[in-house]
Amino acid sequence: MEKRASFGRQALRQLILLIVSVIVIYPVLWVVQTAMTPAQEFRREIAVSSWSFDNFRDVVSTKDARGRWLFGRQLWNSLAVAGVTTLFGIFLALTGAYALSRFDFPGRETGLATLLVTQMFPGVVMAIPIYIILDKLKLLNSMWGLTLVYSTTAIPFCIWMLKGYIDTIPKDLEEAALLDGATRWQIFTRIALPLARPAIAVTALFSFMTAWNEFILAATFLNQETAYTLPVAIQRYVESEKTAWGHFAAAAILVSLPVVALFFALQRHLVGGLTAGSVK
Amino acid sequence: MASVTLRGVGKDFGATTILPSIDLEIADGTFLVLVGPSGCGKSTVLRIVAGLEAATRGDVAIDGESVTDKKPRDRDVAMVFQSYALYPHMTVRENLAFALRLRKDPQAAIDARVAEVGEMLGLGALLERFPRQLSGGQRQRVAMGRAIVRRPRVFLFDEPLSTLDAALRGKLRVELKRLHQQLKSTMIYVTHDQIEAMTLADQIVVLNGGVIQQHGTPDELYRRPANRFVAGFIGSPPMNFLDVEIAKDGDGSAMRAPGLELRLPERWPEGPAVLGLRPNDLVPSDDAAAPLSGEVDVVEPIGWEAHLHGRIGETPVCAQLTADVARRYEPASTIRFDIAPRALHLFDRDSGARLSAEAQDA
Amino acid sequence: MLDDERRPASVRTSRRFAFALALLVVGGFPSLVTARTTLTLWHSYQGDERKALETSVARLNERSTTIRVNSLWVPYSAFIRRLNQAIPRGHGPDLFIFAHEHIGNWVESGRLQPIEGAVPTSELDRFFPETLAALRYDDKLCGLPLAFKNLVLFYNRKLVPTPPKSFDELIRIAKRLTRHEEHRYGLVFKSTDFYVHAAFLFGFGGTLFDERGRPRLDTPENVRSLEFVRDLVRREQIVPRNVAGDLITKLFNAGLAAMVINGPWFLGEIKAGLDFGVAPLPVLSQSGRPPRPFVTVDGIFLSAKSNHRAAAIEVMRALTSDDAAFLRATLGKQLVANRAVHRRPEVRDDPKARVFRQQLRDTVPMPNVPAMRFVWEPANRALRKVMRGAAEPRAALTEAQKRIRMLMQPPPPPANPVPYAIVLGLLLLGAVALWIRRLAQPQMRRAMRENRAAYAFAAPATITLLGLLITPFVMGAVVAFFAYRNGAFTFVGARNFVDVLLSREVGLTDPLSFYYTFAVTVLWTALNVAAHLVIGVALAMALRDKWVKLRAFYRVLFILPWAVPNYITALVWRGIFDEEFGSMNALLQALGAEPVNWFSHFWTSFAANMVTNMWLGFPFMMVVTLGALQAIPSDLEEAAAVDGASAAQRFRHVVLPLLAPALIPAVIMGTVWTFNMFNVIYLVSGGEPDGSTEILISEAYKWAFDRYERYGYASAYALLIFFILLGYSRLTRRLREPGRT
Repeated sequence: MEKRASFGRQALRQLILLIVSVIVIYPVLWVVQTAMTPAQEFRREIAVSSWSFDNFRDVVSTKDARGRWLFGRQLWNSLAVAGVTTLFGIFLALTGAYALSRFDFPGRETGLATLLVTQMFPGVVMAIPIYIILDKLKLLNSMWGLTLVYSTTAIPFCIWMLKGYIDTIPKDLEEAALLDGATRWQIFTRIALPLARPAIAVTALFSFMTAWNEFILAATFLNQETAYTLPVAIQRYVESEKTAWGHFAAAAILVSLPVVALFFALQRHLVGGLTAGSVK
Repeated sequence: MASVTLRGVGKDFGATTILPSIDLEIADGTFLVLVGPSGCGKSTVLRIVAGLEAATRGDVAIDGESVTDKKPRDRDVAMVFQSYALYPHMTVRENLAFALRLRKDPQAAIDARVAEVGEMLGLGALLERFPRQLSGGQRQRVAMGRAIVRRPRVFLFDEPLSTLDAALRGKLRVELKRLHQQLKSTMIYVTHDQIEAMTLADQIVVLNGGVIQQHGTPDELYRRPANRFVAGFIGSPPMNFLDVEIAKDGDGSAMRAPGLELRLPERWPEGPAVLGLRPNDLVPSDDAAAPLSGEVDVVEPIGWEAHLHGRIGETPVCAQLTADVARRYEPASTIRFDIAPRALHLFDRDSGARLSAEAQDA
Repeated sequence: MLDDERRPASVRTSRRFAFALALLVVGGFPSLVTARTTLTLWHSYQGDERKALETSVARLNERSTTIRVNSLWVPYSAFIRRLNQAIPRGHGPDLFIFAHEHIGNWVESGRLQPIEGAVPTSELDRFFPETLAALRYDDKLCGLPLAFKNLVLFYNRKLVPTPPKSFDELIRIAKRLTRHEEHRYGLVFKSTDFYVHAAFLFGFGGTLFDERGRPRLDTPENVRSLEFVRDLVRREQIVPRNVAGDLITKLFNAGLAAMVINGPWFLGEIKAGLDFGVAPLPVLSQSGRPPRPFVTVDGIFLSAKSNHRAAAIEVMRALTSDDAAFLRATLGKQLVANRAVHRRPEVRDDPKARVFRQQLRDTVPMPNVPAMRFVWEPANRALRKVMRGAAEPRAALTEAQKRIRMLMQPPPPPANPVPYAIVLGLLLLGAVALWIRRLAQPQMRRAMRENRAAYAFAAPATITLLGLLITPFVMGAVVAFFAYRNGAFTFVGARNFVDVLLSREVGLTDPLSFYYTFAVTVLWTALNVAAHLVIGVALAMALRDKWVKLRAFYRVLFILPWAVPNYITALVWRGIFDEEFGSMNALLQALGAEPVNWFSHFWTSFAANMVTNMWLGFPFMMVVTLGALQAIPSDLEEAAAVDGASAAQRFRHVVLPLLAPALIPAVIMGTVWTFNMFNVIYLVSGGEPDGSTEILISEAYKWAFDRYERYGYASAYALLIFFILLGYSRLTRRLREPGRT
């Protein structure tokens, strides 16, 4: 390939990239501005006259009637739920993907087809049955039920991605380990797992995101305000007649930040982890 | 150290039969090479012995004890893969120690053994490196080291040299041979390269289409190939084949073909046959009565020897001569060859089986 | 232990006694505490209202030795859904506080127990009669009132020194103060919200139900009210056309709205220091009567499943006592339902409270009958149509009436389940037989034996997927064969599917018809996926070469849309496309173009959804393409370049075919996701105009939750969506792997 394009083409390319950047950044700036605007004031263009962190302060310092620091607890709940979901999700997706990638067992084809099919389930019909099932399992009012549901939601896509990646790990390595005296489980934990790290990172990201952003089920299942997750809590700012956009925006930024940070931390893996399977 | 026995081992994939039935006896300490063209089933045999693949039928025994239903790790065999299969996320040291660690050897013993093997293979300076930081030859040595560390009963090699360049391959061949002499273990080695087979093996098994063509020492295979396939596969440059007609001629037989007229003292089966002649058995002769005559095409000098390509009748043949002798022949000139009676290999035209003279000297 | 044995028996006994006593003391207190009846109370109050309520609850807990109340804040948006799911399964609260309009529904579905007769009549006298009236359903009192909410007129004293007495006067003032180019308006209210419009409707003597209690919208009075508001908006142009979100607040706080029609919640949103007043709604000059807004009453209600009726009623009475109400009025700034509280000086002297109380006399309780839920959507739709000039008031209301009739159709008759059971039984039997036959094959059993490890590895994921994804789906799918009414399901066979597919009640081109929505969905999916693909691949190509300046920066930046939760971005884009105040129109105007009312035409509304979803979706394709590009050896392209291929030819003939294996699964995945991309449609266009930009999944959602709880119908919809996608994936699979079946 030529090492350099002509100046004109380079300029054109930079121009397009610049325009796309503006389009990408604009809505984000809009949220930032709303969060930084002290009262609800009418403003049409993005320009923050007086920067103010009041909205952030209000959101962060939310307390309940007994003076317990709600924001802190809810942040902790979110982290715990998302964290456990991630661990569950990785475990479930990794073992499942490993089976589908490494064994040719009766039922494998059905399993693969089912994974794609589950992506087509319309969420509308699922919420109430999930409620009933968790009720029967006595998991309704606990974080565990929620965690299980979240990890299940994320599994099909994660397996699909992980399987693609594991397919690219040479089978020889595992056979070598088999002869070296490793059990199936040892091969899984000591060979496949370390080698699938980029894809695992991406799986972790998606599981985390699923749990971190969800609020409909969380608002239905959890029975204590100190057990709520952050997305449920920030619903208070966009309810019915009163919408506190400034607070909502501030809360939205606070909620998005960890995910955005994770995305950026893992973006290198993202490129490889997502596609390895399908291109080799 | 152990003997390996295969009895009636076969393998099917779905409806396709890869291996009909293999019987093989490998004595303790033998270096056995399984050789054959790609797709002949040689790797499958190896993997069945390793336990990586289950045989559809038959029985594998190591040291007289059946291992057919045993898991690979319970067979105490080690394998060197074509791709080396070094664990990319472990250092050389960790790669070597992996098996020992899995069987929970004491750390001191592991260290000592890794150091010993590293020394043996000249890997001492590389122990802390990762596989991706090694050259092809070094990786190959690590792969062998990983097998040696464990002191397995049987070593298995699956085309371990095929990805290396020719010079390195030659060097490592010698190392392997020395290793075998040192360890005196049973080794089964799979390759498609007959030179590797000839240089390394105590015993060679030639496999084609899942069937053993011949099993013997390199010398036996070279001198008395059991069929046309083995004859053509073993030896370099490969054996020349001429279609001939054998007729009765007094007490003996007469062999005729365009450019060939030869009387044989023994009685051979009459009818069409294939004559096999190794290139180095073709001796140029100025005698007008020499049995073979052909036309010179090209002379390829290779240092002290030369390959002379020509045609006998319409059949291309190759003769291996010293460069001095070859120089005497111009392209398009006529050349005559003499052949020693011992150098004749005759095969059935249809089945390819080796023909022998009818017994009269017995 | 050994020591103990050697002591005299009496000592041992006394020590045992002391131990038992200690046990009693230690264990006795908690058991006394738990002997108190614990009641759960759900509410969705926030801020000061919440503080006031929780303080009352805390006091009650302190005072009472027999009752303990645990209160739980539940988000308003999840309240009804949660209540409806929890109460029938015994996970609901004993008491809950909510607006009164759903009580008819709750009583009919057995979720709420009336308290008629449980509270002495004398005690009921302490509430405004209007608030009690709202809580009666079927002549039974269903709860006790906490507070009321109605609409009044807010005015900016700087712009309007004295509030108008009549609407003629209001229009005069408003005209003077309206400057469209400066975004100044004389009057601001949500003219497309039927809740607000009802004030005018009743002011003109309009009605919602006929003498037999059936919804009736197309009366002459109703038409006149609509003509009046239409004129305010379109002829006088003193009211902005489209008032969404928090626009009222923003305009009023910025001094751009002189007058506003809004409820008591608005008091908390007006910024400190703004000089404003509150007045009753001015008299309608045409009818000579004042507008009569809806009043909604926050009531405290008793769950039908509560086991502590007596205790719960005690709590209801305590929380609606004058003292508790006083706290809510002063601390919570509520308009409480207790008359005595309004006579106490702290409340009496508040001019704002007085105005709301005054207006209360001219209000209509928000209907609490179940039939009301059929009115909202058609009525709102008629309003929107009229305000954007798409229909005359009479025609719009006639159409709304037609729609109500259609929606009110009785549920399909019960069907005989036996034939269905037989078919299902045969299918199951067949499946089991097939399965057994496969298991009977020796090579199958052998393969299963050899892969025992595989099953062990697959088991955790399989079990959770079966339990929490496939089972709920099957359960949800089964609902498609039932009709839901008042908390009970009746089996109706395939009737829901027939209704959806035949689309008998509406024309094929009506946005409510399955086929129309399906066509929109296909268009939506195809255009979006194509756009994602083109943008994603183009950006990946642009960022491919190492020499591109700021390459790493762009790569990180372009992932941003993926990382931000999509319900947040959807809301942001909704604001960007706002007709009068969004930045999209600002941009158009800056470029010299006319502003566009994005959500009033199909194509512009569709485009707004598209832009939002394109923004959300291209990073996935870009990342997939970047990954795939890394794996393409550069020598292939070099070879093509040497062969004389242009950049375009190289892309077309070398790069694209090599990208395909990675892109095809991504496209299939993307198609499935986009097909079911609920958030964007629901939050950006909301189906506007008139449900025409709805896609199948959002339509199904609306049938289930926003309209009339037609779960069976919604489930049939969802099942059809599933089969469409399944068919699609089968088709693409055949295209991808032609050799396979």
